[in-house]
Amino acid sequence: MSDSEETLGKKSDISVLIVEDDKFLRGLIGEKLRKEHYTVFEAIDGKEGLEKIKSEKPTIVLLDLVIPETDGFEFLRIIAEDKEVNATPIIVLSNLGSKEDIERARSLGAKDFLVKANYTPSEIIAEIKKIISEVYL
Amino acid sequence: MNITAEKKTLTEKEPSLAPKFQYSLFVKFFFALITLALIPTGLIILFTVATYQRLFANYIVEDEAIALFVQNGVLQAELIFIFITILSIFVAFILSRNITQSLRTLTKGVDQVAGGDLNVSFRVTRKDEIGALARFFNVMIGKFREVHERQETISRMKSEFVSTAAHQLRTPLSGMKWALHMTLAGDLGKISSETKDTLQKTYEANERMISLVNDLLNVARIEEGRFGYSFQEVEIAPFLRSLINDYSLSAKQKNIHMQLLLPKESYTAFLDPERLHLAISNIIANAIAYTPEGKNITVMLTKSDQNFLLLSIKDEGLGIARQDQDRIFSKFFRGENVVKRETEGSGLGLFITRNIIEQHGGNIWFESALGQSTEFFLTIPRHRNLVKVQEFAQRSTKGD
Repeated sequence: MSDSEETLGKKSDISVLIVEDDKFLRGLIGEKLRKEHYTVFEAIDGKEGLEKIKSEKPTIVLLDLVIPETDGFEFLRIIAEDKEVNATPIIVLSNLGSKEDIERARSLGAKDFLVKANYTPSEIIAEIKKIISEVYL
Repeated sequence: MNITAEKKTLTEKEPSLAPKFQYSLFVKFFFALITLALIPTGLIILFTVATYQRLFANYIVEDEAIALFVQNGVLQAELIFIFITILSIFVAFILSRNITQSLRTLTKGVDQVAGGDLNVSFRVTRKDEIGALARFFNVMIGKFREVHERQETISRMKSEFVSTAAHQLRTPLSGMKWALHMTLAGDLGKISSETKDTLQKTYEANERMISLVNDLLNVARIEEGRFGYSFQEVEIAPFLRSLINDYSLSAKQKNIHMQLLLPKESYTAFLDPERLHLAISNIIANAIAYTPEGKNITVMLTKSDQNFLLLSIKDEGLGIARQDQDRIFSKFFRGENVVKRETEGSGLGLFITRNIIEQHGGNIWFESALGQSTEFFLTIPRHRNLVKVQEFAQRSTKGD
């Protein structure tokens, strides 16, 4: 049990919103998170993501950048300006990953930038834990 | 490849725009014209004076009259000589200048083109041979420019294609990576140990594919001039320790003894940690891949001088054959001896490494004995002003 988990109570109290258009990837990471007893919300595009971040108030968001409707950068910009939800940490999980993309996402408030192909689901969960403990403690 | 090296040789042999005094066309023309004017004049004067002196000596008896005549004749001759000298210098200067000045302008233009600047054209007013040369030069540059633009477009399209393809490939590759990893971790149900072995190998093959795609993306970004850098002052010892640590497991698996030798003093360097990590990793990964079990790899840092730190990475591996040595930093090139051994590699690692080191303002070279060892050397800048690239600068790469 890490400190963050104690503060937030049971693990199932920690909720993760996955904004990802690829069904296979969304399913896999969702499955892994549920296995680790996290509550998982899923959104298939930016628009649904924006709705769910407000309705579900997740602990943390995993955000893909190349998604339909509202793209990831626009999503970050909208969230940064919305006082109701701008405290929610967002981890970008994308297959973009040039320095410009990373700098841009970070300047728009992303807490971390993970290139999907370079991280295993376990490593992604480790990053989620790390960010949660940084933000909520 | 080796554009920079070629450039250097070119610069060494490059003719100077202003040739040495004795070789200058201006000087040659100038003195030739003066000589051509003065020698005949001198001879004519000499012969005329001699002839008249002889003639008068036969008819006029008084020596006084002859002396007076000679005195007058010499004075006149001197005046004529001075006049012709001044006139010939003036004409020679104008003529020589007229030819050599235009040639120098042309040389300057050609030099600019040789240096890669194709925005040169001459305003031609002359109608002689030099004018024709200049007009042909303008036509030639126009054609060069066309070819250059076409090549740049093709190269950009090629890079964009590689970028897009690589991005597209990453999505299914990450899906496979995640699914295989979760299956291997038992997240998707129990699997037999045979299945696990096969899946482990599949996972590793997939990892190699991901790393190839990453390399391709990096190369495309280098060529598009979008391989951004963010430099900072970094204490070099911990940076190297953590880098070596990343590879300690794979070295251990091959029973390779890897050691890091650091100087007693602590040094800082000016670098992009992520990029330099990648550059050095490529060399270390090669060293591990091509060094047989039980051998050594030595990474050593020394202070080279006030401006640069010198890092050497020495393995006891396959070595690089002499005929391969010139091409080792070229894209997609892999030494014959490593291809034969069916070792995995994209042939892009050292191309990326050299690019990163050069963008840091450093140098990279190696010494290798086939079948014995290879030692790579690279210099890392200690100050900001040595760094070559602007951060996130939109520069077009000169290579390829």
